[in-house]
Amino acid sequence: MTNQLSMRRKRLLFWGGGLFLCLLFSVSTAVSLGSADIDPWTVWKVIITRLMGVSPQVTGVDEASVAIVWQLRLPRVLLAAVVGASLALAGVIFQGLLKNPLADPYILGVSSGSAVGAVLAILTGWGISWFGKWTVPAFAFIGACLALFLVVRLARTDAGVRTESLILSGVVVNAFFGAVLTFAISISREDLLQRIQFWLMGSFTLREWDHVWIVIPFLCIGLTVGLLMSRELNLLTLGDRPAYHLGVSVLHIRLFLLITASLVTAVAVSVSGTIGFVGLVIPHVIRLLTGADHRTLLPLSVLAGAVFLVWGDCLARSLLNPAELPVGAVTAFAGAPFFGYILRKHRHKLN
Amino acid sequence: MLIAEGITKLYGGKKILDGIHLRLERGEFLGLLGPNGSGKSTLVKCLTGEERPDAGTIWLEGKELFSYSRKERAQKIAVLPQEGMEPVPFTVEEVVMMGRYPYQGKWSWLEAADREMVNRVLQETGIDHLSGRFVHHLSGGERQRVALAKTMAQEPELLVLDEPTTYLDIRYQCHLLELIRSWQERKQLTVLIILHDINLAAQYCDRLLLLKEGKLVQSGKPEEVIQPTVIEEVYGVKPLVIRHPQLQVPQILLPSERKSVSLFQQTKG
Repeated sequence: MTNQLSMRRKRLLFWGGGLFLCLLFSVSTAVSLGSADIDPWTVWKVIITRLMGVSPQVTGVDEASVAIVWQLRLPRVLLAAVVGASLALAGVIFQGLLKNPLADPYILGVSSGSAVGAVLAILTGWGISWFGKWTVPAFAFIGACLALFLVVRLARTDAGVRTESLILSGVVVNAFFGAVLTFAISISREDLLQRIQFWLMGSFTLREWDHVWIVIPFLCIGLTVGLLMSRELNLLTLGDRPAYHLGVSVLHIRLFLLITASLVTAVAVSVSGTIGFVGLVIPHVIRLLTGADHRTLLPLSVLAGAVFLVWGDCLARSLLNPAELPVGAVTAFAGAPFFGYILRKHRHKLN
Repeated sequence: MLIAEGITKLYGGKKILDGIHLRLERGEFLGLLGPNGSGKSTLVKCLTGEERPDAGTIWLEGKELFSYSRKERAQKIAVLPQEGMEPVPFTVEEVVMMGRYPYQGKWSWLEAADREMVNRVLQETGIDHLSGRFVHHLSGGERQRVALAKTMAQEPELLVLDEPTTYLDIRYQCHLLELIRSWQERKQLTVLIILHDINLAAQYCDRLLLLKEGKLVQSGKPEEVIQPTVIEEVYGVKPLVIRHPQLQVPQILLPSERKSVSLFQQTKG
């Protein structure tokens, strides 16, 4: 019999290494794309220059390239990467906990809940004296928890959460928060309109290093929590009762993980708006490629989510150059048909 | 091994269990019988710590059941539910490995000793040829055997089964109960099993408990419990009791209002 442990390690190393290299390549390529021509090699030289703290003359790059790469393009590309990673992470956790291949922050309404929270913070300016730059994420988190509570409450029956009712509850919650968003936009001042508009489709325009630094700590927390609880996530797929009889504190673990996933989603949404389907497509593809074990599924999905959204953003800003598409439109364009495909497959299995 | 004293459980003011006393000895194979709604499943949920009784105490090896930590309890008691195993996208080997969870620390990702144990269990349950297959590709009977292998990997001292044979055809029913019986004899395992089928219960259990409306009506050896008057009192049906030709245990046949065809013709003539 083959050694399962070393197989899992090998699988993790092989796919993890591959995806990491792919991410490095994607980031440097994405940074080099744009109106000013900068080749990927220069991108790396700029990154090394800045990280080492040496002057541009040493590595032979000009000041203009440094400014374009470091101030304009790199933050945006890295933000796309960390947001993609966060959404994929939240998707894995939601799918595992709700035992449902169609769960995803966007479909569940958690993203739109976060968006409402974020918009509320921007419009009213509440809490800015307490939370400072964390105000928008904090409000987004409250919105996310509210949406999640509503959705699970609506979909829950004694027999657990069924796929159909979960999706329908997501539709209800999305419609409601969508209405709140529309209302907020209608009453907002002209100068705020622009800022709010992008939450509807998601975008990475005009993002800075600050935004990257907001997302990274929560992504790290989420990934750590997820990895620590990955075995429990595996056990929960067997069902609540079997997991309980194996010694899992089902309620605590579930609550803790739901809050973690909502937090990661809320922070991602607060900097980039509602970007759909990343949390749906990525975990699904990775599961097909490497199996359902959350100990590999979690880290690999995080890497793949980052790669996916880096390229999604590339398409968003280059398809209609010089105009920009919202990145949410790009992911929906790829994700919605995929959603349909999984739904059909799932129905076949049920019948 | 397990002692329950005065277990009472209420649901919405209605007494589901009413002062149940029972004692499980080590190595015993105890069957729990009773009509639908008699409180069998609730009793089992209380005894495994899944539900807290409203009154009464449960002692597991001299210690109060609810004073065990979750993992400690899972090292002592394993449960095989009616529906067996959900069609999860894990391999058989991975799922059986999950049975080792109560013994693994938070950080222990090394599982070499556990692996040997899992391989042995797979052989003992006769599913080692399925080890690399995905559970959601298996049939219901095969999944039930995987579920049993998982509980074996858990190495419990008490195995609790809630109508494990419900969804199985007679071949898998026999097979499952024989596996449990041989495991019990080999490891001095204590077994508590809810069965719907009175004949299967008589065939496999050392002792039977009969529940009616949350109360214990009768307990004892199969011969003592499976008597026409007792069964009639609990189920409202008076059966014919005969002996199993091989095992000499009592078996029941259901009575019929209808006379047999030949008899009918005789009376007519």
